[in-house]
Amino acid sequence: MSESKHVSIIAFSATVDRLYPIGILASGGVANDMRVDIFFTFWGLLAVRRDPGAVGGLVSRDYGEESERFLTTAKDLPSWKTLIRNAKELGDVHVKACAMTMDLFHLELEDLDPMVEEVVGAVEFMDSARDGQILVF
Amino acid sequence: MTDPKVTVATVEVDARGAYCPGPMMELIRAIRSAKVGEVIAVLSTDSGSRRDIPRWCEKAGHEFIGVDRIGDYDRIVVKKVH
Repeated sequence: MSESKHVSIIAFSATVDRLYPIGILASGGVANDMRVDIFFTFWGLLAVRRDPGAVGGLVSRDYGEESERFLTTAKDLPSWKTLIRNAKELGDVHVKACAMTMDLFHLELEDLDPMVEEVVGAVEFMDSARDGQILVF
Repeated sequence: MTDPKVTVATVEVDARGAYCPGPMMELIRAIRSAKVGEVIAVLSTDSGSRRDIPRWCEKAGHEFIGVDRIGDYDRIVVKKVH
């Protein structure tokens, strides 16, 4: 298999158990000198609003009784947003917001965390992702 | 290979308590701001970093000097080559 230097991550979910891996894998991508694009869409987009409320701080119900333990353990970690910000600072990491979800929820770029650089549509995102791997969270 | 125990580091990064990939990222940050030839020691309690850092050095072209276990943490020593 040829070595890919580009990974695109689709951040669809808004629970911490799925947002953490995005921050951790983006960091791994930076360590491997890869370009990493993160596309926040639907519930994932709601987690990167400036004021997300509880969104982005809860654990998926898939965890059942382990939820509490996950959150207790996560207290020792930097937040998933900090992980993404650090990765951006050190490498070629770009954070994008889904245009369609923005319209659906009447959001503007100013409503989102400053880590989000631009709003892009699905067509543009998929075009930018075609030369690498795509991960969905 | 140079003995990491006796290698004096120019920069020491204390990443103890940080989980994967924290120490790795701290090292990358330190390498960026270091000069060529400088030696960086990362203190880490994360077991993954023992494997990740030597592999990263090989790929990134920096010299992995070694790991020294001190009590409950590792002192991972790397030299910036380019």
